[in-house]
Amino acid sequence: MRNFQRMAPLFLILSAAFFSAAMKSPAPQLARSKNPLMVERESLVDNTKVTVAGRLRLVGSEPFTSYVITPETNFDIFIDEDSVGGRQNIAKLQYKIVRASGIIRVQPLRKDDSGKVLVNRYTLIVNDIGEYKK
Amino acid sequence: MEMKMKMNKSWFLPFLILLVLAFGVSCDETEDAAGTVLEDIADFPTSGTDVALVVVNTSGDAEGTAEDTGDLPVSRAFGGATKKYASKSTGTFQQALKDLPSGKRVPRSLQNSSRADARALTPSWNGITETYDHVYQYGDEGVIKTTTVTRVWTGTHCYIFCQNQFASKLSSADWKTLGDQFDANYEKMTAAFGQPTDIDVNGKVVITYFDMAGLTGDPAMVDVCGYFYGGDLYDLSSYDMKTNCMDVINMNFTWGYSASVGTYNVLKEPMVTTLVHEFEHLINEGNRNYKGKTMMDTWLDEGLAQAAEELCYTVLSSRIEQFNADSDYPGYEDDPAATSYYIRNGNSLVVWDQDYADYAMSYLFMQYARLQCAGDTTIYKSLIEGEKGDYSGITSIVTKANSSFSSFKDIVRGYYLANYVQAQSGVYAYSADYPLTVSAPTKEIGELLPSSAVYLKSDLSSIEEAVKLGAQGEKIEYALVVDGAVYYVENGRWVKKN
Repeated sequence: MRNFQRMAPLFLILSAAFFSAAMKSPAPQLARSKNPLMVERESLVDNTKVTVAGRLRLVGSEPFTSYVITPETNFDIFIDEDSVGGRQNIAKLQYKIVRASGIIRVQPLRKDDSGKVLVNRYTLIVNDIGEYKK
Repeated sequence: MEMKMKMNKSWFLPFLILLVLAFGVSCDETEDAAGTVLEDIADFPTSGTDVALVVVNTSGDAEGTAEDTGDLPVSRAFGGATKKYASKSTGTFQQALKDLPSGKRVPRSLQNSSRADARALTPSWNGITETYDHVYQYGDEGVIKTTTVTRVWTGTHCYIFCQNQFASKLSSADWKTLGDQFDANYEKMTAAFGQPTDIDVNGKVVITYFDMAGLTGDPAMVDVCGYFYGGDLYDLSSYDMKTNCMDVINMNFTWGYSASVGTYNVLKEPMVTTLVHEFEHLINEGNRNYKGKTMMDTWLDEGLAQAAEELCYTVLSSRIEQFNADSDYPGYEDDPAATSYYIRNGNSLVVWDQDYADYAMSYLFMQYARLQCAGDTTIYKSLIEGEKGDYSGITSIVTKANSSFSSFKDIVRGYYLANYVQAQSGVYAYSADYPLTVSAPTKEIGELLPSSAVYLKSDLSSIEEAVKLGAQGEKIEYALVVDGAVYYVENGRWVKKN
């Protein structure tokens, strides 16, 4: 309690300085198209380098579960588990927000009879993956 | 805008001073060893004999890591919670008590193919098929294996096939009974979970029985009653993967073999419950990934599949027993890695490790959610058809149906408290069908994973002395249960919540 009261003036000065600085220079906004959490599926081009971010989820039914990254734009990017050396190497990241970079594969999963793609499957061959830092 | 900023600046400093002074004179504070300022929680209940502290990490999205619980009191054992194990197992604890094989059978990912073009689906089914070659190994390491199966029953909603050499092991009356049972369950299932796909355009679900362990040579398959493989809904031949291209459920015929009498029985438990369990997975895949939606979290998908078992048959007493026993990996009670999977040590609801604790928790969570939605089983369909395949999907359903909940935090905290409080009605209730018991941790708990909890049996003075605010993680919530009354911490005070 006494320590806290001694610190109060310092706290006040720091707060005022911080508040003043915040008023003068607002934090830069990350461009929407560059935000890896906001990546759109339509923007992904097969066999290109990408950086994406989202929740690393284990999905599907046993025993055929898969790890996917789901960005805030709400679609699944499957993780190529060979490229991370096996799923055990990313298991500790399950349900965390991760950032990953690598080569994206965009491959048709379903087409209609005319050949029009109905559903694509997105798979990331991972070069680097870790917890997302804002 | 400029004017507003100046005004804000002019009152901000005095306001901050007043705030700090008010704060400084109203709180009882201490510091922990790390220098973190700790505050007492006001309005602590003054009396009570049956006292427990429930500490919950209420996060569903786990943006970050496990959260610090803050200091906690030492727990006594809950009544009847201590379990002794009779024997030690051999091998690593990861190998113990798995009811499904590991991921080694997962087919190769599409990205391994050198070709990126997929053909339109060309089902092998022609509507009058009496036999077909059933794919049971999909191309792992380049090996595709099939076995010829024969149709043994045609129902209203199903075709049943069986591996040729076993087809005559069961009487036609038994196959009919099985088919009739599936047809009856089909109506319940589609009402609660939604419609399955019909990619083979035959208007029916194909159910195929074969000898999984015998054909694959994998002894682990002996213990598998059945499975659904999502790849069967797609023509993946252009990716060098042969699939069945059917709405098909794979069942292990030889699971029903009784060595003592030398007969097969596909009508016994858990073969019939597994059939509807896998049917839910088929419906789920067909309404999500097949349609380009996000896939569902495994903990939710498995929770729904177990809900299907209960819907078509009865309460899963075996899962309740597993929850109450909380004894995954018997023989490894001294292994910290093994005991971290105990429910009592904070096994996470949303982080799936494929053990009994995960199945039991996901089953009970789904039933808790249903009961909190007035028992409405169509919440399953809403979840499957919803936009989100994670915790936020169930959150939007429950919060719409029950005004007691406004967030996932409310739901997951209510779930963990209901497991212990077992109230007759309200947020802390299941029903009499779910007699649950919780246990004290087997070790000191300093962090909790997302959507996990620990229960600590103690007394009021010990809890008051140990539990302070300040060091705990942002998503950690404390709840106090005193003689059945539940208290939450709100604005630094204990507030009664029932």
